[in-house]
Amino acid sequence: MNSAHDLGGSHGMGPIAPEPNEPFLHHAWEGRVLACQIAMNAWGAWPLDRVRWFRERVPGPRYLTSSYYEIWLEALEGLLAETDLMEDAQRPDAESVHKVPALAPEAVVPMMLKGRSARRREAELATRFAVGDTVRVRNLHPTGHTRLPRYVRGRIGTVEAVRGVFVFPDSNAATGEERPHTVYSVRFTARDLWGPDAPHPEDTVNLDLWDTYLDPA
Amino acid sequence: MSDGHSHAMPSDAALRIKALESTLVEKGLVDPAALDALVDYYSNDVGPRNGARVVARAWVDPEYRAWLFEDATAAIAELGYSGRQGEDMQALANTPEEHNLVVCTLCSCYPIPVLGLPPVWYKSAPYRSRAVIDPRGVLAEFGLVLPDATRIRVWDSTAELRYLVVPMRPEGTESFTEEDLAALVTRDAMIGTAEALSPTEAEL
Repeated sequence: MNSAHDLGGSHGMGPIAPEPNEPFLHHAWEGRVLACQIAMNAWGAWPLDRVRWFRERVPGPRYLTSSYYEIWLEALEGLLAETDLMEDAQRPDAESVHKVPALAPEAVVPMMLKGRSARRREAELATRFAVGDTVRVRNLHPTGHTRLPRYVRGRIGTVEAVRGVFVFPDSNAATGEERPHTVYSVRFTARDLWGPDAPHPEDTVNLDLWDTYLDPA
Repeated sequence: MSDGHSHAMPSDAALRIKALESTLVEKGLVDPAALDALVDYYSNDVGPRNGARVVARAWVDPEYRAWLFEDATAAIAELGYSGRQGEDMQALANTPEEHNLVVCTLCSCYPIPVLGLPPVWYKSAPYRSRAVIDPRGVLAEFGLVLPDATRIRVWDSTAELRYLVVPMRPEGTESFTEEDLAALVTRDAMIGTAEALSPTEAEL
């Protein structure tokens, strides 16, 4: 979706203002939001791509004026509202989630160290490009979740590396269908992205893009 | 996005998450001790000192360095760092010819096992908007001005690959131990908004 989260190339967002010796969390409540989100992810009721989509769906004006963990909290509330987890937990006969105990403290570190890779062995779609190929990014404007930023749509780049097969976030966020296919590291020059007046036209930006975002050029 | 620092009273968000956590606990959906363990993990188990160990090893051990650029996930796991938001790692080598800078324009993707939670600026609109269109202006704001001849390479973390910048080893560190070297490797050097500290800057 073309919303406020898709920030690449915007002007006028102000100074970066790094904070010296910044703590990892500024308030105790931020840690509770973070921990509740991760603990609730463990139920498997939604993929990470859907979590990201819910954050993007925070209305643009509020997205830009909220803190990071305020956005997380709003997304978590939205995810909980659309699932049956809360209702199931109240039903003593619930057959699904609540016969499994909640994430246990001793399971936390093993779960974090294991992670959950989005890499898959088999691609469901063809791998159409190879290193060195010139590609043009499709001019797509999906209203759902996508990992294709606006600033590269329609632009020409070069495949620099084939990253492998990964779950496709656009379908995974919408319906949970993984549709894994190939991701490439595509290199764009500043000239290709920002035009002939780019002050350093030979500087580059690489993005990791799925095959279905690309056309041959 | 605002920095969320300015609340003197309990904020709306603080009250909402407190209520939500209570409900989740009451329904048996979260164990509060597991939430404490998660906060502890993010506060203590992950952080830039992990990434600094990886970089220092790469500086002293050419075989490790080659492995890191060939298979970063495995090479980093060898030092004990793996898992959530570091499942598929890529290492980027800074050289006199090329300087790498990592961003996530769409959200806040960051290599958590090696760098910990991202700083507020990394997640905020000014950095995310400008890193791709004005990387030299961004670097200048961090006090880093590179020669025109050095190509800036920006990496927008749009998929599930997570990037670790390996800065250049500072001069005058030939006699340094791996541990001394790790003390020169800052979080920002591994994002690409800084170079590694010189021995003078690090007061070693």
